[in-house]
Amino acid sequence: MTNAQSTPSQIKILAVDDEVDFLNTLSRRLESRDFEVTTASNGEQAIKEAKIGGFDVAILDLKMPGMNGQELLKILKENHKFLEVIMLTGYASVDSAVECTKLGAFGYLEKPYDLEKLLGVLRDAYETRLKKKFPHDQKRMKELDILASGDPMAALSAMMRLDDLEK
Amino acid sequence: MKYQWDILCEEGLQFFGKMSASMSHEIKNVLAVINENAGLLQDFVYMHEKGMPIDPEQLKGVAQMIIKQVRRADSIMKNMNKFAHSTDQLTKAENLNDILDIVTKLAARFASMREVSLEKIPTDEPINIKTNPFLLENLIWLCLDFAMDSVRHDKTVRVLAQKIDNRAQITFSQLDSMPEPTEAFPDRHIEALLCALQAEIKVDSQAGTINISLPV
Repeated sequence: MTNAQSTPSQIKILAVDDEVDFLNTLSRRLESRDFEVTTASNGEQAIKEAKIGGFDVAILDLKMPGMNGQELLKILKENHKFLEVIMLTGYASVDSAVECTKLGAFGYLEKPYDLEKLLGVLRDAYETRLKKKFPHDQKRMKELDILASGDPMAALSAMMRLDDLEK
Repeated sequence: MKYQWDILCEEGLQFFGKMSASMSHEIKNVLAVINENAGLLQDFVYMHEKGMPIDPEQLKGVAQMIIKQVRRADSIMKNMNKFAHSTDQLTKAENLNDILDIVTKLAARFASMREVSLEKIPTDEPINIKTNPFLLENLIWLCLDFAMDSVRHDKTVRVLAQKIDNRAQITFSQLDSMPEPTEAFPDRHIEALLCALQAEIKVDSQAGTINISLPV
């Protein structure tokens, strides 16, 4: 399921959850904050979308029918070098968080969460993505360190302009 | 007999824990949707304070979503309550269809995770039995758990209760992918439950069925 037409300079999010009501509301809230959101309700769909999408960050539900979030995380990280992934779960456990981190997850949040918390993790994930993309650009790294602090939405917007310079 | 009770207790606790965890996970999902919609309402208020008009249709949509989730949670809690109360009495007169009903509802989420469906065939007449409701629910669950792994992806496990020759019978059918030979099933947990319930089991991998026969 792909949403609104892409406009220039939007951070692209892939959101994956089998709870369609949750997914649609999350998508609306992120889109109202100027993210470009594509949703998928299962792992196979998410893999297809990721191949065509060029996403910056993925938000994955951990427990899904068929391919679960951890399996999807592994496949996405193997095939999309600069994609950062945030895991969402109904029940956070240390074992699960460690396992997801080993597989390359950037963050791990328990549902229900405060959106400000998600935006903070999105900010940090996007900063990490940019640092991986431009590891030798010292000037850009210094700028990033300044930009990636404070209000998540302002930081994301500023970091996105930095990313856009490369495109 | 002590040996059997050890197995029954161990199995019973695991069954109760598994079902409780599953239902609590479902409730968490409901809370996540309600939380997200409450956040959306906050977003509307914020945008209105910035000068954007509020669309009543959007508010209506959010309200309907919240009501839908509250009804979903209520249904989950009703099942949880019924399940918890099945431990009240060691022997009780019950309609077998009601017991099957609660177990198939509890198993629905597990079925969904395995991408299979459960279909309980309705019957017109009640099938009254005297049994230990919790132990019978446990036995039905173990059979369903095995049955869900014995159908191909996207298929349906059919469950039917009948009265045959003065005994009650539960049939799980359409098990077209049953492992052969079925050495791991029934296992010692099921054997202990069968003994406690004075029930018998028949597994037919050719026909793709499992039959449990119970005294009435």
